[in-house]
Amino acid sequence: MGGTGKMKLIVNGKRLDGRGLADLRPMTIKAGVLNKADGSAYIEWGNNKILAAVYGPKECIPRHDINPYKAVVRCRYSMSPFASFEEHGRTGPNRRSREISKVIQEVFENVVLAEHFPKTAIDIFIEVLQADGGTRVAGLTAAAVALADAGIPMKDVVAGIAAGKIDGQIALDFGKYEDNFGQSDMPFAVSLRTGEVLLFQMDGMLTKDEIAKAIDLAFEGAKTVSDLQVKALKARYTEKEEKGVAPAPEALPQEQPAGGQQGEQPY
Amino acid sequence: MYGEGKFGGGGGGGGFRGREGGGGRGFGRRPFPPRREFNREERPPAPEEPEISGPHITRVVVPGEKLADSPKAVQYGFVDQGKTYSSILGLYDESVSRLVPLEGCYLPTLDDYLVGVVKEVKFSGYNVDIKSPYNGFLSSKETRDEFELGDIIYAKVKDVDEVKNVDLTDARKLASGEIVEVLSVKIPRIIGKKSSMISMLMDATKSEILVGRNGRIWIKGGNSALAAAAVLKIEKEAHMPGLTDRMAAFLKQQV
Repeated sequence: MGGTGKMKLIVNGKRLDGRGLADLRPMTIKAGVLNKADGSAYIEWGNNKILAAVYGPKECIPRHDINPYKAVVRCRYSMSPFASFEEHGRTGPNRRSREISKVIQEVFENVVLAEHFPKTAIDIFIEVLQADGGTRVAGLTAAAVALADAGIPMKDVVAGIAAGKIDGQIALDFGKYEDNFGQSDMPFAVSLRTGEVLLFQMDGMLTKDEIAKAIDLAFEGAKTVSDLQVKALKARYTEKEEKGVAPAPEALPQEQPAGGQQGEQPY
Repeated sequence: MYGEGKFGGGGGGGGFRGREGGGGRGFGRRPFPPRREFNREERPPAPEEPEISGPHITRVVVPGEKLADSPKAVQYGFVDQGKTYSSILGLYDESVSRLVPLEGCYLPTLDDYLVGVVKEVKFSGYNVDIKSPYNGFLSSKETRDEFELGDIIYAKVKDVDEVKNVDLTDARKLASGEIVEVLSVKIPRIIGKKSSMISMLMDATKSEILVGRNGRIWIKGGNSALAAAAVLKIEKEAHMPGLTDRMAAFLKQQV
């Protein structure tokens, strides 16, 4: 960030990848991609590729973290060492990922109905496999889908989106170069049902008017994100319906061999 | 007999001795409950099946999706500023205002029958894994049998308190047989309306099947491979209408 002007980011009203100022990068979300997780989601947003997994509610370990009134929501954002062009060194928590984990955790603490599950923990894992700017909002978007997929009660499915300023103009959803060479980047997460803002960070500088404009733009963008999240969640149950009308019978082993129940061996 | 096992032997455990002498009178204890024997005919009553197929029109809802413009008491729903919203991923039936979850963990409820695994043997009883965020506890007072680590038991939830301590009762050991694990939210569909689905399964496979509300299903004897496959098929297709007919066709084809 610095707005050095070394790189022209808007030419003839179009951005580097040909988008307009209020356009989002292409996005696909898929829910229920991991077998062992209670809930999971995979998002491709521009060149971002991110996996989110949710485990829980489950027994809270370490036990000193237990809240007898509600579930604790924990989040771990992690960027793979191979996620981008720059060297990210070893994987594992660093200053940046710990900050992101914390802000995402606080987003979900505000929407999960944790009082239903006293003494438990809900773990959210966000793995950035490929990074191209805006990974925290993309990871958050996937994590919201994963939480719903895990059957965890929530007040809303949170949508994340980034707005900001490039070449002096307010625009939506930055890729890596816009993020690095733009003037300001503003990650934003919102519960659209109530209009509550759950995450609001800013890098660089914006005037009051510019912030107001960026927020309006982010709300518009969040609607698109939210639609895709809902579609991803519902797709799991509508697809099966179409396929399941005439299910292909699978060959099954017939009668169990008699050796299956010898004696009163404990199971 | 009881009281002479792992703990009662060698004079240890006053509680055990007290009970042997006249059912614990004089100690303020109630006598042992009579030994419960289960068989296929007198199985415990199955939870009522919320029927989601048929003429009812259901739709898939996600957390935060509006269910009604008026405040309504819907399970798994919540009311905000006079409107009703869903809090979970589920199937909503507008005509009867019923929301059935599609995913989620098992939360112990009074009088549920569960299939559990003994996780820890203590002097006072057994800690039982009940496929839930919370552990079950089967007190030695509640059973005249003795269990070992790893035993599979079928038990009833006697009490759940506000911090989710789960007490079990009416336990019996499930020796041999096999266990299939499914999502607990699909269990009502596996049992069916007035146990219709599970009786159909048992008739077709000649297996003995016990369904735990926590999503563990115990199958013994008969064509247990078919029974297990059928249970998994129900779990996979539980949200689609016409399930009973489809399962009947499936079983007819496989038998």
